[in-house]
Amino acid sequence: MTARVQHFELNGQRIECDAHPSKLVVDYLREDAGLTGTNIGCGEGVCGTCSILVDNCSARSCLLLLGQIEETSVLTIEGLAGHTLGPVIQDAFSRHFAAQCGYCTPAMLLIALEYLLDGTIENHADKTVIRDRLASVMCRCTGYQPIIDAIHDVAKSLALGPASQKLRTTP
Amino acid sequence: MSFVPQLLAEFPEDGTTMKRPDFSAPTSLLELKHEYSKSPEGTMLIAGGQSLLPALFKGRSMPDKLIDIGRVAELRRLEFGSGNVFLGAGLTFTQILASKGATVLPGLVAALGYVGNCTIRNRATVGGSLAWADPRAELSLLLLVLDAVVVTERREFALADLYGEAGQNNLAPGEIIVGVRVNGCDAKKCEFLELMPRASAGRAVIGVAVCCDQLGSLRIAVSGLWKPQICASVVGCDLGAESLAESWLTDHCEAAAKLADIAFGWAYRRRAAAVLMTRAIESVRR
Repeated sequence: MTARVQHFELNGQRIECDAHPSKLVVDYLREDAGLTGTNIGCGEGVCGTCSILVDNCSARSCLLLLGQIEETSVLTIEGLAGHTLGPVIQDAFSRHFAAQCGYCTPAMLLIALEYLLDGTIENHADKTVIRDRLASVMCRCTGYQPIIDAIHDVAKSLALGPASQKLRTTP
Repeated sequence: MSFVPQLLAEFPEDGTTMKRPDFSAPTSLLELKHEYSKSPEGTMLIAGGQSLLPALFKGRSMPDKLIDIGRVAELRRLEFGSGNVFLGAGLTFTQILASKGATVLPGLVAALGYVGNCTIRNRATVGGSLAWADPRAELSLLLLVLDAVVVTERREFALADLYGEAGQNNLAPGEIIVGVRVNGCDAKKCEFLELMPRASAGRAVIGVAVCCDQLGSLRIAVSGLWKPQICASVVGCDLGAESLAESWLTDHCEAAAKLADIAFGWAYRRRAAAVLMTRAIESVRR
């Protein structure tokens, strides 16, 4: 039996869709939902360019089936501005010029949000930890440094610690 | 239309060359067993899908049906206590690392920390990792030295018996891994070390796990040299760490078929294994 109707939340909106549950989420987002901000890179789960957040955890949408996001809350780059921290992260990326070609930027912004919301991290301003977390997404332009600086800047300004759990809200 | 040709080929919209697999997501073990038993040959279980889906894309073949185990509550059991640990097959590595008991199983935090990156760990599961039988997998390497027991819906057996000589799993058709259990881990000391190039696509080259029990007996396992991961005990040995590592590797050099690696030659990997093993033995003996 294949359940044909999927229910989930997408950027704060309740979605009911009848796309095939074996369809890749990245294809659903780009083709059916018209959300082309999620870019496709390698298509095989290596580069992280297609990363989205599912229940505040990053996931590669090229290795995720629509049926697997049933009853979850999905955040794509189009929904970032509606999140409490979204504009703060976007502003930091802009100030630090943390993008060149921009292809990985949607994924980088979402990974940054996931990182800043991660209540298991003791010190969000630790650049070593930030660099380790950014291994989830490949950037072939910036050398990562301005991105690290941007996230470090946000972490410092918010003085985030384990208490950041309180920010775990959907947009 | 997909922007990724390989995905288009694998999941064609018109259904002329390959049809999308059916999909179901049972919510109980009973329902999962029932679904899987209908046609175990044409069905694959999918957990995180981080290894399965790329392999399906590259293999140019799709099962008739995919069953997602992500919503089966019984597979997410996580128990830490009295030196015993049970990890449910459906738990993700991130869920385990975030749990308060993660440090109860010696070496677990270190081993899982080497797995891919945060995004991969968010999806990768215990059951998927064990069933996939990747010769470089971190979790199975650690669990081998800890004498872990695999629990399926029909039997329990030593983890070492899960893997065949060619590195495949020995599960029977339709058999489902429910979880893995480690007993007496409070009396053991473990070290897990790995050599891997660190980048977004970083992968393990050599992994070493060493476990020391209260009597000072060692169990040593290595990944990245042979097709199956090799694990063997060393009892009553008073050799120094470096000599012991060299001796262990020499003893097991002909044990199984060598694992091919186009980027890292055999001599380099063997040397790396000796160095990591020496460090790990020194660490658990300290």
